[in-house]
Amino acid sequence: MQRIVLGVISALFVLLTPLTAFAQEKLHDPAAGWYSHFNLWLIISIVIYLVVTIPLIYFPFKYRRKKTNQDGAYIQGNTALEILWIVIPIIITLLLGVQSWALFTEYRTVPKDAFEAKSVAFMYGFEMTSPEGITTMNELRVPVGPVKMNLTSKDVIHDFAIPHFRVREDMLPGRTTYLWFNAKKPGEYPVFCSFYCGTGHSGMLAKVIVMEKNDYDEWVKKQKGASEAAAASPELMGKELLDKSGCTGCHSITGEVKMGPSLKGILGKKTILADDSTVTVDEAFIKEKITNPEAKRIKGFPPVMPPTQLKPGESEAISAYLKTLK
Amino acid sequence: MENVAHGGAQAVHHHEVELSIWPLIVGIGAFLVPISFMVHFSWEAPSTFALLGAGVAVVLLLVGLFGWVNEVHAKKEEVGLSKVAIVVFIISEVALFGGLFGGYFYTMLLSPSWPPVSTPEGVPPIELALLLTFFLVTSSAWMHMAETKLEHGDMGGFKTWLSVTFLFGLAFLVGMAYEWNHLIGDGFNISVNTYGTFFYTITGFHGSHVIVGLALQAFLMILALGGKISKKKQTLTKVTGLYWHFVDIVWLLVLSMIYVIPYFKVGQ
Amino acid sequence: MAEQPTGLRSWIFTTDHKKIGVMYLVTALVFFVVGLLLAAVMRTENLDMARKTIIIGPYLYNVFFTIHGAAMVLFWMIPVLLGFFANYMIPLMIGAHDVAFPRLNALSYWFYVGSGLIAVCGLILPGRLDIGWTGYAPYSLVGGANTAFYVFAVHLLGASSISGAVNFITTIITLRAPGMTWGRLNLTVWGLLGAFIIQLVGVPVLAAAVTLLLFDKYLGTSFYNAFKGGNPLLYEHLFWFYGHPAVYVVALPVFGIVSDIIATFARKKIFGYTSMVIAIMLITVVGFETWVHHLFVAGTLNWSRVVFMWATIFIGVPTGIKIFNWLATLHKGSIELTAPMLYALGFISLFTIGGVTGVANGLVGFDISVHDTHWIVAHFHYVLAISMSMLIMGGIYYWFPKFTGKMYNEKLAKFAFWLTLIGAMVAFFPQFIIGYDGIPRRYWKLPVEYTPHMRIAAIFSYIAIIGFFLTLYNFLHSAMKGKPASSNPWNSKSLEWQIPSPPPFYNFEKIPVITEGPYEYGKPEGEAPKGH
Ligand code: HEA
Ligand code: HEA
Ligand code: HEC
Ligand code: CUA
Ligand SMILES: [Cu+2]
Repeated sequence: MQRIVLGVISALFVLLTPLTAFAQEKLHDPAAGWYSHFNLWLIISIVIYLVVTIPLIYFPFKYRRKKTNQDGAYIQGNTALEILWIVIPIIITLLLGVQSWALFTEYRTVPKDAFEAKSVAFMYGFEMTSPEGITTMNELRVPVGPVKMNLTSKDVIHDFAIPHFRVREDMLPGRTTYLWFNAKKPGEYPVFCSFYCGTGHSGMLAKVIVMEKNDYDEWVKKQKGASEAAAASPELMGKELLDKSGCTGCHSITGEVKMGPSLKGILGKKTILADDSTVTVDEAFIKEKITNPEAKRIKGFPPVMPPTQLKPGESEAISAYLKTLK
Repeated sequence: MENVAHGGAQAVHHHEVELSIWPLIVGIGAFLVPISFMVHFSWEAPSTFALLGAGVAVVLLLVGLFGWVNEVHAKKEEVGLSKVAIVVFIISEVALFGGLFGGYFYTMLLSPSWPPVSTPEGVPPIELALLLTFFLVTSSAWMHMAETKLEHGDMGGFKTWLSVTFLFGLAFLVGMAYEWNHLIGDGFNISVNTYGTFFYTITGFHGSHVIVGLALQAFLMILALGGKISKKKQTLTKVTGLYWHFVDIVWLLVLSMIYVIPYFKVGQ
Repeated sequence: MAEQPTGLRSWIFTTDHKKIGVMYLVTALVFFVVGLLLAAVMRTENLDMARKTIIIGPYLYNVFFTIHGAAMVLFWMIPVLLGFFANYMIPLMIGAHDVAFPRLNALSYWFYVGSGLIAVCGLILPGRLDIGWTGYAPYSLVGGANTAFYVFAVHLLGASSISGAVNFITTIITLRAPGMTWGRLNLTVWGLLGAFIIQLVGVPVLAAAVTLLLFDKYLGTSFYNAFKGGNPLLYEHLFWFYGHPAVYVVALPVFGIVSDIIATFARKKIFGYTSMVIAIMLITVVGFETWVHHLFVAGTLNWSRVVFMWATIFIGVPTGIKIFNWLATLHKGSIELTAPMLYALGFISLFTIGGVTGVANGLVGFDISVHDTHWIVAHFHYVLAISMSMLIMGGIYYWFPKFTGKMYNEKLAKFAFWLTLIGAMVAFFPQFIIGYDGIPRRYWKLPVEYTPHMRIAAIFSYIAIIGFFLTLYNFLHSAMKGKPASSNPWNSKSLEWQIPSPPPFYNFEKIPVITEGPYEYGKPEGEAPKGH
């Protein structure tokens, strides 16, 4: 008894000493740390599963009942054994826990030189703001390197998840939360809303576009010019409005059917309403659809489109933009 | 039979009923309460329907409970299991108030100041709260007196102290109604800010427990007047007593958390 | 003793714990079938991930998983365990005529039925519930759903659970037969006791949480309204304070039932009875200390996430004690692989997969990547849905001769077991892969690359569902036409098997005096066991 307990305690020390060293090592990339954490967990779990399942299958064959009402051996228990299967799981748990703790610290400690952007969620989309003050919809451009995101929400709780960088954090109304990731390689990485937020939840998608530093700077310069142009052209204003009002959460402009019908080329087309009557989509119809979607429902879609209040001229801008989508 | 020996002591507990109509009646009554709420709030039906539903619900609940207790009290002897049960039940009530106070604490700690700045002057009314405390704490003592009298078989004393308990409890309730009325008049209502929200919710929850306690006392009184309570039948009195002391203790928590802490205007 | 009443009246006015138990079983099975059908439709919707409606659009998909989750957890799992098994078995196992408050027991059942009716309203009436089984604020406040359905269903069910808990805890404390010491209780009774304690302490907090939801929605209060100083996280905290222990409300009785089945069919004393009991009680207590693991990425304080990680992953230790004690009980036993035993062994295997992935979720650094993804869906379907449901079926088979007096069809039972086991095991595995890729749950459509994964998942879930319907057929057919069973077909030593099947109205003619625990198989000295 005593020997087992003492032996196990010294084993604990042997195991945990390298771990503390591990905990101090800085990974500088939570994603990489996550994969090694996952692998350790996976190996341990497979071993546990085999340790459980092999006897589970073997014993019923080995100790098959031979005669009716034959009894098994009379064994009350065995303290040493029971201590063994208390102590070993404790050691495993400590091992995994310490590693996870170190990884978590990494996740929550933002490097000082991080690029800092902001995202505000709404039903159903993400409004992204770069440190230079450029606002984009459902699309965030960042230079290569560590990025910190400050997150908040305009209405209900949403979540900002970038599976590729293995990060996610909820976006709460009235509060700011944060996460950071190390954007190592240029490319496009999908962003998901991972907190259930209603009918548009599964359509609440965005992307992070990682660019080389020079490309990014160039993009910033172009955007500054572009936003002035947008103010002048109704088409560009309409595009921005579609993004900003959350329409693109449910409607694509590419022909793909999302939550609602695609807005590509709808102007001038005939469409069938829920009561099987047919109407032609014109500017008035679009205006009514936006401000009072209840009035005329399109057949074959769920009645989920929310009403949106528009300022004068905005509906016309949207229509103007929709005309350009052929 | 291997592990049981036969012919032991007589049954500890009789299988006392086979059929009883009362659980179903109470169940239907309880079901109609939310239905009437929903008729009103969710389907926006004319409130006459909701009132009708609620009326039927109340009648069913009253009839059902009365029939139920009558049936139980028709028994010759009582086993006294309810004394264990009420202690178990009080544990769950502790959890209920624990949840509410936990939420209150959490909100308080996250607020920059407590109570929030939009709270009108003179809230919380601590003087009135102290008066209410006096009523409730002493009534708990009177309840104890009533229990002692019953243990000694002094039915007259029992009835007297029970009435005193009831009156003090009632005074508490009246005071609370006055306070609510007054505060709402002063513009401190349930939706003014988080403090108002918690103030009315927690004092309201506590008040509803006072009402239940008073109903139990009134019921005891009816039974006592009918001669159905005696030295041999103390269980219901003990149950009421335990419950009443519990309601009293919760009030002390309400007092310290909802009245005293905000009285000192932390962070303002 | 009075004549036994018969007819419909004898059911709806009954206060007999056995009849109430059977009514719970039948009602819960109805909800299970509803839940399964909803799941089948969701899976059919998942057959193709192109964003086109197959049967239900996104809105109905959300309604379906809400009602599916609620029906399965709140109206099937908990009632079948704490309604059927507790009602039927506790008085028989502790040697009592009935529960402490038979009328209250009947009332609990009627509360449950009322609550179920309201939940069904949430499925079919306008303002359907699309708020998830968790009912998270603020979406449940600002969306179009009739949150009142949710709140009142929880209220009535809560009333049912609390009165049930008070009733059964009192029963176990006061009505044990002479000689039935705490050390001689069946582990099923211990597991149920732990579950009732959790209900007693947890349900009131849930009731408070949803009441505040109601106030916020209809009285304009600001508990959860962030724009008026409230805090939406408060709801999550209060919900999971009950919601997490609730999973142990399911698990603890199941652990108990597994122990009983294994002891009976291995004809061997449970290995380490005392540590089994301690483990149950540890899980009961520590289960209340882990809820923040559902809020690991919810903007909670960093240090609190670490603290709750430690509490969470240490739950694996007492659970491990139970698993290894079961294995040690099998060792040197005399094992017969009847259908209930198969279910028990299948349970242990499925539960271990679910359990180790649970530990992964509990690791705070790990969970960041998989929180609210299909990984979680796979975790809880392994640990909750399939393993627990499997074992409940095993438990029903085990006591089937007792409560119906008939034998079930063993061959069909085993066939259905393999069908369900294989179906269920494969039906959720692809979701581990999808979740590993970080794809969120509660999505009407996933990215198109996952169409093949979800097709496999769908097909195997149909297989499992067919297996379940075979089981249901077996139950119904055998209950009516099965061969009569002897009073103790398994030759078990546990008290409930020592009386006729089905038990007479008063259970025991005289209250028995207990001289031995329920698992004393093959005891060297003392009487040799007699056959029947
Ligand atoms: C019966 C139901 C049940 C059970 C028993 C469990 C058991 C466990 N669960 Fe699970 N869980 C759910 C039902 C259940 N869960 C549900 C329904 C959800 C989702 C809710 C929602 O969001 O809708 C959920 C979600 C969930 C989360 C939240 C994830 C997220 O949303 O991000 C977490 C996180 O910690 C978690 C952890 C655990 C742990 C640590 C256990 C442990 O108890 C497991 C213990 C068991 C073992 C570990 C295996 C056996 C042990 C051994 C063989 C010994 C050796 C093992 C070791 C040393 C590790 N669960
Ligand atoms: C007890 C609980 C339980 C059970 C049994 C099930 C059973 C099933 N569940 Fe689920 N499910 C939940 C609890 C449960 N579920 C919860 C809590 C949620 C979350 C809701 C939310 O997000 O709000 C959820 C969500 C959920 C989703 C939504 C995922 C998402 O998009 O987020 C899906 C999608 O397909 C799904 C599928 C299934 C399927 C196909 C089955 C089954 O049909 C699979 C086949 C299984 C069986 C047939 C039963 C198991 C075996 C037996 C009963 C043995 C009996 C058989 C014999 C005796 C032979 N479930
Ligand atoms: C929650 C999802 C959602 C959001 C957000 C949303 N819509 Fe819709 N929309 C729908 C659905 C579903 C339909 C089809 C059913 C209907 O008519 O209501 C639709 C229909 C339409 C139609 C008619 C399409 C046709 O085929 O004739 C137009 C135009 C439209 N929406 C424009 C918008 C605009 C502009 C916005 C933003 C201000 C917007 N929608 C926001 C879901 C949404
Ligand atoms: Cu936004 Cu989900
Ligand atoms: Cu949990």
